[in-house]
Amino acid sequence: MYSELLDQLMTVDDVEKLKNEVEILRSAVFKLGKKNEDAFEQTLKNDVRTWVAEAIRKILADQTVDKQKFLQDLSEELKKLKPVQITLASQPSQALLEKMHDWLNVQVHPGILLDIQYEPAILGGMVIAADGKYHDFSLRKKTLEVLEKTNI
Amino acid sequence: MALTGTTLLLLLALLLLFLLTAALLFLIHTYNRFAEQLEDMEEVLNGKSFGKAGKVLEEARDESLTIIEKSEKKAEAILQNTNMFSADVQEEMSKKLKETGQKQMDEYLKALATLRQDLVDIFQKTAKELEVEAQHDVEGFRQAIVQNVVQSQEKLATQLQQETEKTSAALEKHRAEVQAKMDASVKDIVKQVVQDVVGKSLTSKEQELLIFKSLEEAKQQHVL
Repeated sequence: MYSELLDQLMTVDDVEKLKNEVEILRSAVFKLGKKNEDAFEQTLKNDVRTWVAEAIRKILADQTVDKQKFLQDLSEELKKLKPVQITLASQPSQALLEKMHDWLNVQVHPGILLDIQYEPAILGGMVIAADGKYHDFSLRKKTLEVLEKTNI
Repeated sequence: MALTGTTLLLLLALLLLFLLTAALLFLIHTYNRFAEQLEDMEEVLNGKSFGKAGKVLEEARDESLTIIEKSEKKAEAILQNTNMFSADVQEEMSKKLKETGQKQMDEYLKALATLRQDLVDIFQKTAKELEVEAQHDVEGFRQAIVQNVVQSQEKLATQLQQETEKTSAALEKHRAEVQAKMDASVKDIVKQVVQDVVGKSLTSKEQELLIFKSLEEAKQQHVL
């Protein structure tokens, strides 16, 4: 049910945006009530990104799905996603981000979110911070290790 | 010739007085000789060799014998020249005189032998003590020399060791400082070169390869 939405989420920023949109929609549900159903639709049009609004409309087209419960469950699912902070030497392209996200969700496990940082001093490769631990796989570290071994 | 009792008594008194005088002179002469011999012995004790002491003792004994013999002959001659005594009396007096002289001579020789033996014992004991003392002194001197040499060697070795350690420490410190400066300098240069050249010249494709290589490493190390 949530895959159409969750599969599109690659970064922490994406998740934060979706969380905000879900909260706005949940507020709209409580404010408008049954008498103003098209007010929820107005919120979808005005305050939610197009691809998100379309995905929600498609899910809610099923009359058996309760709006309020759907939004609450979606909010809980978003909290389960695991962020991984990755520092790169240069700003990645969107294509590279998608490739990294796909690789992580296939090779490691689904639901990984990218928290991309930018630091030119690492020269290349990446530095990963996950679960409170710091792992340096950068070109800078490899270069320094070579220098240490050769005792230059 | 018949002699009266008083005259005979007078003659005997004169003879006795003469003999006493002769004996006194003999004793004085003997005493002087003995004193000279004692001086010689003392001289020997003060540093002369044992052989010389023995020689002196032999000479003293010979001289004493000569003196005694001369005294006996003189006494006999005196007796023979005095025709106031009968042959029996003269013979008896000569016999007594010989016995007395022989007795004195025996006692004197005995005393000399005792003295000689005492001297021999003293010399032997002294020589032995001197030998022991000399050996003790030589050994003490040798030990002192050896101890002094050993102490000097140990002191010198300790000083050399300390100086060597100081020098080695100073050299090592200097080497480490120079090495650290060189390392820092070289690393800074190489790091800057890598950052300037490699960092700016890596293509996006190369960067992407490095990123996925890093992801593979992270997975193998169970970082993700």
